[in-house]
Amino acid sequence: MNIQALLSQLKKARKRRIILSYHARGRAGVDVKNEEWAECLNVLKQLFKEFKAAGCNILISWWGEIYIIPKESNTAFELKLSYQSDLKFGYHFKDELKKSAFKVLSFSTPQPQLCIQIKAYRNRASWYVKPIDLVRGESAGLGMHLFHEMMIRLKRYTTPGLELHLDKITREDLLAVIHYGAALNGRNSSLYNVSRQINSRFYYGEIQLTQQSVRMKGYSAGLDTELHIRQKDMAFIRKHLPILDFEQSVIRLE
Amino acid sequence: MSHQVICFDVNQFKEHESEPVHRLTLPSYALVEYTQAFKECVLKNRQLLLEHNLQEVVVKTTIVNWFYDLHERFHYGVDSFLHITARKIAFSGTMSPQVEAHFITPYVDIEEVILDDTEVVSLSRNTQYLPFVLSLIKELESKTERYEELSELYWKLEEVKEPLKNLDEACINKLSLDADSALTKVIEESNQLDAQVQAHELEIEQLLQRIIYKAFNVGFGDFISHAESDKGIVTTLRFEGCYYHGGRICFRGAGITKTGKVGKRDASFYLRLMAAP
Repeated sequence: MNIQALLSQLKKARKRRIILSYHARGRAGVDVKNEEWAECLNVLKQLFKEFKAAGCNILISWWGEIYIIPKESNTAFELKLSYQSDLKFGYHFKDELKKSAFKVLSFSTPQPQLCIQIKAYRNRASWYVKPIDLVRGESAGLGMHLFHEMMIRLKRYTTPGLELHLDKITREDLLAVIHYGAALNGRNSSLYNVSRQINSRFYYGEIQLTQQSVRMKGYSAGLDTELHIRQKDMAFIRKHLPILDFEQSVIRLE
Repeated sequence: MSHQVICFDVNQFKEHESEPVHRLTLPSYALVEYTQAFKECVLKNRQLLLEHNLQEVVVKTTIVNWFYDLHERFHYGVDSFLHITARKIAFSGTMSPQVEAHFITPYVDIEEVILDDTEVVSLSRNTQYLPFVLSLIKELESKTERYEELSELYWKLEEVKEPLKNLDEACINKLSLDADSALTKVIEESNQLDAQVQAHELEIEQLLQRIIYKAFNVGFGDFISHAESDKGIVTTLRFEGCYYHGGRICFRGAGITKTGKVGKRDASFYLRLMAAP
C-alpha cells in the first residue's frame, strides 16, 4: 500500500478514535490535538518513507493502530503518538492521593510532551519512548532511529511475536461502541439501557451480537440476558465496527 | 530542572454517580504545574469573586492536564474548568460527547495549593475609609437596626405563637371558624417575620463582607492580623467568619501558629470601624 493510502486510512480512523475513550483496554494509535494533527501527518509521512526504504511492511487497523513489520521478521511493532510526561505513579499512589486529595510532585517535564512510542507486539513488551519536537521539525532520521531500536529489540527475542489479526472485533470494541452510543444519544437510546445493564453486571461471559439484540452469557443458562436494540441503534453499531459480514445471524465475541 | 506539579485526585460529580457511562471516561489524575501564571489566575478570579460578592466563580482553563492510567497518556480532548470559592479551588472537566462537566477534583484550600505563599494582611482601625465604604457602613447600621426590630418582634410573637399553637392542636375542630382563622393568621404572620429576619440576616452578612473587602481588601480564607495597641497583643488568624454588633466587627477563624501554619485553636478580635462618638 502506498504512503498516501496509509495516511488516508489514519485520517478516517481518527474520527472513530473518540470511541476508544470508552474502551476497557485502549488501542494504541495517534492521539494528538487538532492543531498538531497536520504536523503529525507530515512526521508520519516521513517515518513511513524511511520504514519503506528499510523494507518494512506497514499496516493500519480500523481503529488507527499502526503496525510496522520489519523485513523477514516474525514480530510486528506497534507505533503510537501521544502526550507523555516523566510520570511514574506507584502502585499505591491512587490510595495515598484519596487520603490527601492532592500531592505536590516534582517532574522534569511538567507539561505533557508529544512522544512517539514503539513496542513489540508481544506479551510483556515495554514501550520505547522518544519525545518529538514538531516546531523544530527534527523528524528526518527519526524513522531510521526507530528502525535501529526495533532491530536491537528483535535480536533479544527468541520466540515470534503475537499473531496479528487486523480488524478483528473484540468484546471490548463492541462494548466501547455501545457505551459511546449511550453517552451520545442519552436516555432515549436503546443503547443506554444496554450500557446500564452491562455496567451493573458483576460478570458476563461470551457476548453475542445478533441482528436485533445483544446476548450476554452469565454463570449459568438462567443468568443469560438478551437485550433488544432498535434498528437505528443497530445501524450505529454497524457503522462504527469493522464488521464485514453482517449477514451472519450471530457474531460471537469472547 | 525540576518543576513542581500539583496532582489532584478525580471523582465523578455526585449527580452523575448513578450514570455508569460517565464513570468510563473518568480520568485518573489532574495535574497542574505550579507557576506564577497559575497563582495569578487563582488570585485574580478570587478577587473578582470577592468584589462582586459571589459564592463561586467558574472559568474555562487550559492549565490542567488530565492523565488516564488505563491508556497511559494525557487526554487532549477535555474541556477543563477552574472552580474558585473564597477559600477553595477545584478543577472539573467534560469529555465529548458529554456537554456538562461530569468529573471534578476535590475542593482544596487555596493557601495549600499556592504553596505557603500566603501573605498576612494587617488590619488597623486607623484606615482611612472611602466615602463609599462609609455609606455602606451607614446602610449596614440601618439594616442592623431593622433586623433587631424584626427579630424582637418575631420573638415576642413567638411567645404568643407557641401557646396558641398548642391550643390549636388541643382544640382542633372545636373552635369557632373566626377564632381558628385568627390563630392561623398569627402563625402565618410569625412565619413571614421569620422569613424576613432570615433575609435580613443574609443581606447583613453579604454587606458586611463587602465592607470588609472594600475597607481592608480581604475576604474569607485570607490570613489577617490585628494588633491591639493598648494590650500589646497581636492576633493572627485565617479569616473564616465575621459578625457586626454595636459598631464593631468581630473577625474569627483558625489561629495561625508561629510557624505560619493554620493551627487548631480558634481566634478572634474586634475592630471598631467608625470612631466612637
